[in-house]
Amino acid sequence: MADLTTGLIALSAALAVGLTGFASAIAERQIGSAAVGAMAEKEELFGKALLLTVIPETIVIFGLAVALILLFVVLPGL
Amino acid sequence: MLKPKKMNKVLIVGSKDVLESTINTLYDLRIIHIIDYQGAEEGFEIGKPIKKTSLFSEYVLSLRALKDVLNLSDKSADREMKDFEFSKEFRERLDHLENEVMKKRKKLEDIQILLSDIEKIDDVGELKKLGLSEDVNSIMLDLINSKENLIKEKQELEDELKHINEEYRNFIVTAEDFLSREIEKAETPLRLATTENTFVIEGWMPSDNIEHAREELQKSTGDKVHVVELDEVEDGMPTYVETPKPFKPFDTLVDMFSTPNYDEISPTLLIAFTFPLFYGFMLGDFGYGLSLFGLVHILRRRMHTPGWQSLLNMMAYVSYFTMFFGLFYGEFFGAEIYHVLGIDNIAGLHLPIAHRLEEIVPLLAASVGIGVLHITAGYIIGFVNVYRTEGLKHAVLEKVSWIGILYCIIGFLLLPDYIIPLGAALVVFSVMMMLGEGMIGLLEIFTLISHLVSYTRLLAVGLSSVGIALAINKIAFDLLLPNGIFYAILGVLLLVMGHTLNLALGIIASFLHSLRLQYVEFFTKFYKGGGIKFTPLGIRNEEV
Repeated sequence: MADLTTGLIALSAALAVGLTGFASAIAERQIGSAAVGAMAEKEELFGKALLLTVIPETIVIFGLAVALILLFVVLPGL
Repeated sequence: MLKPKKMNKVLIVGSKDVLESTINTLYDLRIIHIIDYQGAEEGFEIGKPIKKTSLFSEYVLSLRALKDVLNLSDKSADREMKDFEFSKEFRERLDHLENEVMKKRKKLEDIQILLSDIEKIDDVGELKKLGLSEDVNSIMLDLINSKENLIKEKQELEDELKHINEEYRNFIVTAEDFLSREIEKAETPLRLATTENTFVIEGWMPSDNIEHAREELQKSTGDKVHVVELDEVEDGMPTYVETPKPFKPFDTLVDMFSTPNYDEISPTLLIAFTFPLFYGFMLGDFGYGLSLFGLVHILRRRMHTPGWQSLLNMMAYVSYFTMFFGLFYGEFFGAEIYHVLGIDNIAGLHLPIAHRLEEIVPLLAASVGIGVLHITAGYIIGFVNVYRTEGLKHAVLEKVSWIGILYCIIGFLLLPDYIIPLGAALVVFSVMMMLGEGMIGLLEIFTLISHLVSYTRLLAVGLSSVGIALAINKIAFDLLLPNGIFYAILGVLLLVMGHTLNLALGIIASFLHSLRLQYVEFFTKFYKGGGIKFTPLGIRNEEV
């Protein structure tokens, strides 16, 4: 049986990825709908629109970085 | 190579009878970025187009319509027409061709409509049940029976159009290209200032080429044109960066963000290295790299537009880096290539050099390390830019201070024992930075930290792709393939479709994230942009 600390660390890692995933999704939803609107007017904006849509993906990458550090740096160090 | 070419404003003055030969010469030299005359000076008016334009326009309209109907719009002329016979014969040939094609086209459309109608009747099924009169019934039946004939006729028409396409393709494309150029030449006087007997062309020319242009002009006009070189520096100077040909495709990436302005270093050469590097670091799979390489070579033959060609050239570089990193990580479609082959070292080097799923922490550190170098490079370019425009003091306050702050932050992480001297250095650099950029710069320190963390995507994006590849392989090899022929087929199907999907995702995700690192993390350190691209007379818009 794993102890409580291990469990809490695993849970924290999950929360870090999960919640930041939500945050990215909310931000991308708004950019995405604006991008589709812009593309309806001007089709050649596709490249730029796609690029702008992935900008908030940084948030979930931060979450992933935190989770990786928790699991691979903090946890083995205990 | 890095710096935009030095430009000089030039005035080309001459008498109107040599206007046409002057324009022809400049057009062929592709050397002058004309400043459109706005009609504001007294005594000068905007020039009139050279006569033959209207006739040309008519031809070009026909040719473009033909190009459209025959689907030739993405073809470019494979040879340039130097001269052209404007005989009656040409006109007749063109008219005849246009009539022919349009007539066939119309017929084809009619048949298509008829066919789709018949299809509908077919769907309704047994007509007799509807209780129509005998006459109507028989007409309907005739119609349905004529279907075969119609299909045959349709096939014939399509073949004929194809035949015309093959025979006249070259003629149409080259003629259209040539005439469009002629029209542009003929309309050039509309951008110039003229008096009754003279003309003035005002524009920008790369300083090195002025002498050459002068000689050529005097040769072609018999010394009737005078070229004046002005030493003016003003807004609106166009930017012309001479990127070496192999790296040209990467200009597109920079221009997509913004064209460099006249005073700054063009980042194209650096991006030509870092963009594929980041891409390879993320996608990093020998199998995927090989597939990408194959895909690029197939598409190269099919897609002929300049935009596609430059994208494909870029992707070719990217595929080399992907293959290199594939060997570095030892991945082949998600499988551990060295493990499968039973090699675990070459010349004492342990293989794979870094396994992405097992050595997460070192790779995470490497990602941020690459980020530190990348950002430092950004600040160094920024330093040079500011130094050249505003002097050493500003450059040190605005850029060196930031480099200092960056390395102090890294220092805190790596050398926790030296926290006091590092803290002191941080304060000094922060004060310098605030002198350079104002109090608001203090907030930017947090942005810098977030930018550093942002480079962990180099590992993160790759990890998700490895994860998917591994899952596909595991399901296929462990669960499906060993369990009889039916499951084996399913397994092969899963392997093909799964890896295709993962490759598509990987290509797009790596492209966007690699580009984002350039735009958001790198460019914000130095890049101003907002320049005007040097578009000399003689380069048509579609080619840019």
